[in-house]
Amino acid sequence: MRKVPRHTRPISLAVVLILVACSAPLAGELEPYLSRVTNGKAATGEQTISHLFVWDETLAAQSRARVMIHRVEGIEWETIRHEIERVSPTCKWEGSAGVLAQAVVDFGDLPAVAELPEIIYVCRPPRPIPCTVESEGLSGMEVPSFASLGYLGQGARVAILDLGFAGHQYLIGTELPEDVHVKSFFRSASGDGDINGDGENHGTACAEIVYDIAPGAEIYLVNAESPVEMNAAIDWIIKENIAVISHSIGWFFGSLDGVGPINDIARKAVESGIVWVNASGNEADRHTWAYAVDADNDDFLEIALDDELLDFTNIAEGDSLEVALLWDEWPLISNLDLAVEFVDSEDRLLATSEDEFGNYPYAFRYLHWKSPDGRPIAIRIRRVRGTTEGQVIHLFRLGNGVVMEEHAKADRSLLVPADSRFVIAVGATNWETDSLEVYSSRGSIRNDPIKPELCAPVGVSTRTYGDEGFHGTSAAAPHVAGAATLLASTGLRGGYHDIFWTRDDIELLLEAHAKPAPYIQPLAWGIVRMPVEMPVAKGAGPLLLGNPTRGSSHWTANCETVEIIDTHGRIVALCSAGAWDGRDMRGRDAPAGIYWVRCSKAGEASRLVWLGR
Amino acid sequence: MIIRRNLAILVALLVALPAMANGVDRPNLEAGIGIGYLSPRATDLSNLYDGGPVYQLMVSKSISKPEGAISLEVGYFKSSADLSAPFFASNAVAELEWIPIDLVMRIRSAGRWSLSPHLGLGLQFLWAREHFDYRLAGQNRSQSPEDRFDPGILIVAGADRVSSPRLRLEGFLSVVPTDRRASVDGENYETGSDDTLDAGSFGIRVLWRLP
Repeated sequence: MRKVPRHTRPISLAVVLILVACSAPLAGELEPYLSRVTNGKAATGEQTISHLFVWDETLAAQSRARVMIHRVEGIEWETIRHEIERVSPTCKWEGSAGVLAQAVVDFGDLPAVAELPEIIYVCRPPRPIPCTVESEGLSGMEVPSFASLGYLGQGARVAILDLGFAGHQYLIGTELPEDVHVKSFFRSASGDGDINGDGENHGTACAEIVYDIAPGAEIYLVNAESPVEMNAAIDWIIKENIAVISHSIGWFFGSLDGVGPINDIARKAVESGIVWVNASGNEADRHTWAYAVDADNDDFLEIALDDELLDFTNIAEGDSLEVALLWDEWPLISNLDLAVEFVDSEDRLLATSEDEFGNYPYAFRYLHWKSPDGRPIAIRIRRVRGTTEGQVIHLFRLGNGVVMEEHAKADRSLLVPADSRFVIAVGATNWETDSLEVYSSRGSIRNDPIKPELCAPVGVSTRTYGDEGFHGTSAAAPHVAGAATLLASTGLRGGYHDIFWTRDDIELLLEAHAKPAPYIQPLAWGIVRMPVEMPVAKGAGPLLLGNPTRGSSHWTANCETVEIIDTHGRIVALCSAGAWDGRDMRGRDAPAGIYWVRCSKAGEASRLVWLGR
Repeated sequence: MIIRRNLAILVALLVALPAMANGVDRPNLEAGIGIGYLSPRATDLSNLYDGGPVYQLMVSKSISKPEGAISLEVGYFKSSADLSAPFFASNAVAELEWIPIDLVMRIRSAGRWSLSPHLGLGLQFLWAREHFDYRLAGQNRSQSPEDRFDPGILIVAGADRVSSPRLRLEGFLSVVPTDRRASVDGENYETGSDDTLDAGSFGIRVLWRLP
């Protein structure tokens, strides 16, 4: 046996100590806010500012909190649950989704739960925001003409998945069907929660629009507030054989390019055959993104070229400033850790997300600050640790009616899960003009198609929101969901089977019949529109033969813009009255054949025989 | 689950009935091939699918008390139909395939003119497959709902020619109660209503009983 040289022994001992230390279980962490609550140090009313997190006042009054628990990989929840219930005997387990679980825990037990070696983090569950802002949009979508053929959504099931449906009871029989189904996972992953969602009526307005479009469909109102609740809701929706989900909700809980727990839940629904329609978000004018670069190595990232500060000058005394920062590292931070900070004009630190989110395991930071004097401030992003290489950062300003005063970028401004390639994201267009609303989130998703796929009308009337109109992509998504539901109710009648279109079929129809909108960039498919029947005998015969000399076709029309429609009812091109160069919206040569020329939004169409280029 | 249960019944009958017959007499084995004309009975099916040829294979075992035979027969029928479709869909075609598996007991009576008339009663296990092709937005699409396997009853009546060629001519009628299903992307669902359907058929066939 060889003897170990004397001088190597201290090194061996150190290695052993390090190995022992590494193999010892590491305790998880408790979110600072929950720590303060546990110690009775939370400021009165402090929780109300954190609308991005679930906080139940009723539970808080009982010194309990609903929390999200993130476990380490490789251990089953059943095992950990026993440990949690051992250290917190009054804990009420509510469910799990992958590595996340939700439970109601006494304030006093929270530190012990967080210290369990199998736990990574204990925090308030993240909460999505409604993409708020009847519908006059139906006519432009050709819904009345589609419905006149008897297609009202009969037999199709559509779920509106939202935060709350307050007031829906008063609309049953008028704005909502008599037999509306309700199921609530709101603060109850077992499905016996409060359908009113603590007074939130956003879902009710969305349901009104779906019902306007598909009055014959079976409408399901389902609400949930946290990822675990949403996972339970989706499992239930899948079991109910629901064809379409309308989700006018955006989450700040993912990479914004299709990765994260919420995207996984949406993907599960889509892979089970459900058409998932999602509001794209209302963040286009209050968002910016950049590749994470610290060119001068001062630990502050460049938000724009040579600019590390994002200025906010339009501030009044008492104004609240809220920002959310996200970057690519999902589901958990492995390398780069960032902090968002507010500084004054003399570069003095006013607030930093490190206080609340210093060890937050997700690539998300949130900072809220109330201006005491209305003086201009700036935001900067500090690299706490790690390398920035290959990372993309997104900064959102939150709050009603606020915009990013400089460096605003609409591109890549979609919220989760509208950023998923499995989801139909819906942007907002004015119902009267078809123009894109400036706030409508849009843009390309890294390595994925252009978003949103469709736009739909907003500013429409609902009973819930009254005369102000229902604005925001929240109003747009239910229009597309309603259209998808109408299509889902159609199909073929065979001998044994009534065949209904598949999810792929419905998406194909929505894409093929969308009204092209080349003036909206980027936009994948167009503005939502139902298929239109082009009666063969309509119009006054061939308006004009395609140019026999292979030039342009010319005609006269009493409108500025005309639609060229093929015999399947699809709009092939939009052009000014008088000429069509024979190309479709993507610049490809349209095949020779019969087309229809129609003044936009006017009923009568005339036939055009196109001889080809 | 239903298919497994029906198969179990079928296997049990296949084993049991010849055994009973064996107890009575030593039967002769014979086989046959046939062709006939089959038409679906129920309106849902007959309005859509035309009748057509049905091909058949048969093995049977004679019994003496009562005089007759127990047969296992397998057929094949295929038909297709153009479907009416919403205006935005085109070229919608449905195709139906049936494989009826029949277990029939025939009782013969003494005949005249070298013909032996018979009357038979049996079980029919009907495997059915319906396939749909259609065109949406310029793209060819298709769907195949889950296959169906439904039990029913079968009545046959006809006559066998005793001398060569040993032909059998008979009419048949089956009753196969089942239900309509909704289907999306290959998965079947209850339609939600009590939409029952008789997948039975009737027709006539000629069978050549091999020596």
